[in-house]
Amino acid sequence: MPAVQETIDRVAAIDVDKYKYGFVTDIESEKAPKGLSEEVIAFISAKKGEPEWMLAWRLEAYKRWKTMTEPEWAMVDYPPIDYDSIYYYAAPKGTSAPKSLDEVDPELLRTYEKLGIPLKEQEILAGVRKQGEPSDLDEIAGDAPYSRVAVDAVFDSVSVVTTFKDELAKAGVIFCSISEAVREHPELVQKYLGTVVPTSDNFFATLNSAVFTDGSFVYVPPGVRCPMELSTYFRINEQNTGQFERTLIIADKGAYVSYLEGCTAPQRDDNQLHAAVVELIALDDAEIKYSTVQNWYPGDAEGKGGIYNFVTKRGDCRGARSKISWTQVETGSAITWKYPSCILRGDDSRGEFYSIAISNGRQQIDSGTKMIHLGKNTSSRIISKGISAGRSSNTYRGLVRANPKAKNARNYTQCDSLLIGDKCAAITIPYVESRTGTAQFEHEATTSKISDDQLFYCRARGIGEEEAVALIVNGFVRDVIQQLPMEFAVEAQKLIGVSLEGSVG
Amino acid sequence: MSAAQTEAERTLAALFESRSASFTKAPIDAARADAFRRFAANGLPHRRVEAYKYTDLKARLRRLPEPAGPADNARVAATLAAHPPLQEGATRVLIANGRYHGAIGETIGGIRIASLLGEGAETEGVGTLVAASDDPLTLANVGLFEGGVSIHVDAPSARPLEIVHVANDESLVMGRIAVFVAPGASANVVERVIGGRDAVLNTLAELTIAEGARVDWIRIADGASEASTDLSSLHVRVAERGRLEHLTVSTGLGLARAQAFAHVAGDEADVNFRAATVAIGKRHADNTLVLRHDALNSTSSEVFRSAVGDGGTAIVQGRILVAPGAQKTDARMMSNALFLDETGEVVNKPELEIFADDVQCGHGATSGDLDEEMVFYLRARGVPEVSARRLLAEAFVVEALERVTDEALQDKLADHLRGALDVMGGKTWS
Amino acid sequence: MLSIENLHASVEDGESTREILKGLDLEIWPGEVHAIMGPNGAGKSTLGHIIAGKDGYDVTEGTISFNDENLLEMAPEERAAAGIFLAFQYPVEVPGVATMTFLKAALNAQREARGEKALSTPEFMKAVKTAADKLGVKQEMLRRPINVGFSGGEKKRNEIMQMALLQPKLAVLDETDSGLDIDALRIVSEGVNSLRSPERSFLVITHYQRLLDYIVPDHVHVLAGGRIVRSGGPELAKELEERGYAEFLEAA
Repeated sequence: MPAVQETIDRVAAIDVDKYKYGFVTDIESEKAPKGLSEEVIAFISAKKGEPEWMLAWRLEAYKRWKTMTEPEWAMVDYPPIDYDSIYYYAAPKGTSAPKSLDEVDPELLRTYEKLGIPLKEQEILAGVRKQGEPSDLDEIAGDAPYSRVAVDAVFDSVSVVTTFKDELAKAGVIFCSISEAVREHPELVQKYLGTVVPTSDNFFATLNSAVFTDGSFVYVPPGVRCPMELSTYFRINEQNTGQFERTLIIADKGAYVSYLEGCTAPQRDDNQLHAAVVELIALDDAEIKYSTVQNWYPGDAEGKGGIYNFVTKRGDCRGARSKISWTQVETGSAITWKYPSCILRGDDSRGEFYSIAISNGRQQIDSGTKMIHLGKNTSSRIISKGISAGRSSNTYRGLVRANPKAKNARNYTQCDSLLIGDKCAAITIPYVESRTGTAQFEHEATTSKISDDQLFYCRARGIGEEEAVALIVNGFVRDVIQQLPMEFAVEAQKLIGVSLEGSVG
Repeated sequence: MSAAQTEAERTLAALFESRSASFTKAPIDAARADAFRRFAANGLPHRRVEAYKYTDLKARLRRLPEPAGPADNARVAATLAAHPPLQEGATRVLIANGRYHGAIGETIGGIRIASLLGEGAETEGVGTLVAASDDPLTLANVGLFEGGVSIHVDAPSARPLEIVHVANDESLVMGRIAVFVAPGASANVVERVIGGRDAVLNTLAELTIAEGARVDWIRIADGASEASTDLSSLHVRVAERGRLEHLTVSTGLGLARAQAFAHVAGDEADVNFRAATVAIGKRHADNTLVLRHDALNSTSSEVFRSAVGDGGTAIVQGRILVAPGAQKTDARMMSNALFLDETGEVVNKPELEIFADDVQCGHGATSGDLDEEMVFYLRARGVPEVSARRLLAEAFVVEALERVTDEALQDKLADHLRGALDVMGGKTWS
Repeated sequence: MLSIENLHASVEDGESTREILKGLDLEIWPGEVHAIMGPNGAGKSTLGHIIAGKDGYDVTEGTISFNDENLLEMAPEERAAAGIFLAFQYPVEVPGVATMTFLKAALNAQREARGEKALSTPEFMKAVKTAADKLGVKQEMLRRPINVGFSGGEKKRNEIMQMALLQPKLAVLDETDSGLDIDALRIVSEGVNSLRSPERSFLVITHYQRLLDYIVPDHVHVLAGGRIVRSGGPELAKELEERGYAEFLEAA
């Protein structure tokens, strides 16, 4: 089987000890004072040159947040977060308004190189080649056609560089930082912001609404198929900087967009908080595909210093026949609290959730999805693959619900967990609620370990134990990997191998 | 007690005040004050309490009926005569208004039966299985129970046992049962509730299955009226090579929550839970299981079958926990729900919490209406559509009786389920 | 007995509609055995399903009458009571319903619909035993839920056993030979042949000529592209065996 050989080669080629992305970039920051207050929020809003309504919106959220308490239901355990000792705003100095790539700090570009951001995008960022030119690196992606990726890079909290803007503009696609969108497209932002994740939604989303610093904004006009994959790389760099990204993607009637998000973070001793909000809106016949590869710093062997990732991601299939598909590969962070969800409001709409969650060391993951069926003939599909190793805890938490009016709703859920070692935990908590007899729901879950027979078979063919585990795990997650765009699929497969290093033997 | 104390919670507090006056120094009484204090700290569980998310007792039981006094002998006798035992030759153990009705220290066919309270009470070991429980219904019973039985089975017993709860109409009843099955012994138990219109029962059973012992236990929760409430909690511990075959049959009217807390404590133990539920109209049937594997090479299986119609609600919560070191556990759970018409609510919440790696665990859950391929097959053979649907619905629920070994009993239970489906009348089947 | 005229039928295929039968004519008289042969996807199974009354097909044009009754207006169970029997290509598994229970429900429902008295239990048992023995269906199989855990061959034998029990006027055998080994094929064919009578007709749907060595038809029809493109005697089946369906595919 050549595909298997390919995987072996890839996994074998990885030469990374523990975590290769742990370093600090030396760029001076411009910070707001520690802690949160109306003044800090006003400072953030002023820094971004926001209109009055945006500040009012933030303050309203802040007022509400002060009345809320941190949720405790998730299967995660961490020391209390001191929200007063966090910096809520930090901008890389001198990059407040970059006009072109030349203005990008060379240090930043070197950072991307060390981060292992796919080389194709690095080339584009570094100006080695222009968009659309073939790359020597195409072989890595096999025979896949050369595809282009537009990058809206976020360095700490401010969008530093945006590529491909012109071509996107030609198609009528708006792709910019959310701060810019607030200034340049206030009518769109006002119309859609907070309509999927209201400011009152949950503790972390409300906090985000008050203090979000940056993120991406995408609007695809009616009937337009976005000409390229859109990609954003989030990083957390400044010590003790909360990262509060806000992303808003709107696919108007009949539009299509595929959005990629990937993350890495430098090594730190203090835990770092991340509370992003992503809102997707698909109108009639529109389709949004959102893919994530997340490999933030998970903490050291004792679990110290990793990222806390409390994310609210939700898509609204607002129009008839619309479709939203989430694909995620979660390998990083000390704590992951994340449930990319779909509200299936439009008749005949469809939601999908494909997930790989790998936990090792002391990582704790509580992740899953919600599929809320409201419209007629709505369908959803959930494929979740959890792999627990080391002393980690890996929880799938999912909700599938059909309301009485969701006639003929359909859901299929497959939820598999793999355990590597006897010190880790795999937890599956599905909620399946049906309020109409016409809905057909089917849920299946399994938990097992890598079979000794499979492992022995690989080893008898000369494959080392660790490689064999990576190989088998890659097979276990294949259904999800297939959902990823090609560049991400390759990166994700590598990550799986890296994430599981030291898990056997 | 929390700020928003309901009338029901005040009734329970007052009941504790009056009962605590007669508490003795016996160990069984010693645990009561602590249990009730722990219950009262949070009150009746509501939807924000995860385990009661779908059965909000605080909202459903705003007020409670008066606690029942001792039962009237003539009435009890009449009730029993009207409902003969389900198994021929069964020894009947009667708990009327929560109190054991029988000769003190009775021994029938090698089974020792005694009261839990009062003269000649046998309470050794009672409370062991619930000592660490934080389940509010369990705590309320431990604090407030008005009586009950302890049953010791010391040898393989051919004679079936039928535990009958009889309650006055519109009364609050909290009887308690403790059953000890000795090494190598076996018991065959049917537990049922008879009568009790608009009554609220909160029963507690502790079942200790020793090494190599086997227990078959069937609980029939057949709600007598729309305002009746049948809450039951079974705590069971299974030792090495022990075996449990448990079945819940949930039918009728009103609110029912059947809880089981199973601790698979011994290597090679085998526990099996089945539940057949018909929830029609205002019936709210909740089957909740928490099963902990704590030993090597143990197995468990669960099959829940629920049919809902005319707005009925069926909740299935099944949590399987495999503790660290419980290697070679094999645990499988399946919950299937069938809608008899377009209305009603089905919730499946199967959970796995696995802390050992060399295990095979899985669960599945489905809900929906009948498979039209099957309906067509039957119709193509001449079975009218109404009968075809009816036949398939019956088969669906009755399949949960597969492990009942006594065929005559199996037939009776199947008939009982068919009768429960009749409530839908022409409504569904047309 | 069965008269099909200009039958057009289509299925919903996602958002589009696909026409499968495009003007099919067929006339079957009492006592006749007709074979319908044709390439895959020609609409053979569709024809069987429409005769039995399966949902999911839209008859857009044409008529089917059975003993002068409009078949298309009858529910599946009414057709069964009127004497139509479909031996399924893929008999569905019905967990929980014992085969015996099912057979009794089916037989008595049909009898009731025809205004006949229900069989007593001993009469019923005797009738089942006779049918089962003929087809080599073991008593143990009858106690099991319908088709659950049956092998492919057992399922087909069970279908023919049901036919023997229910004594239909017209039996439609939908690819009954598929998945059968040579011994099972012989048993099934013998079962069918023993039911041949001047009053009973058969419509045998098959892809291969093999079955027709055992169940010799009076008429053979080639179904291609949704229509009967050629009809003949048993020799037509032999011809098809030698030359295949290629020419008809082109013609369609």
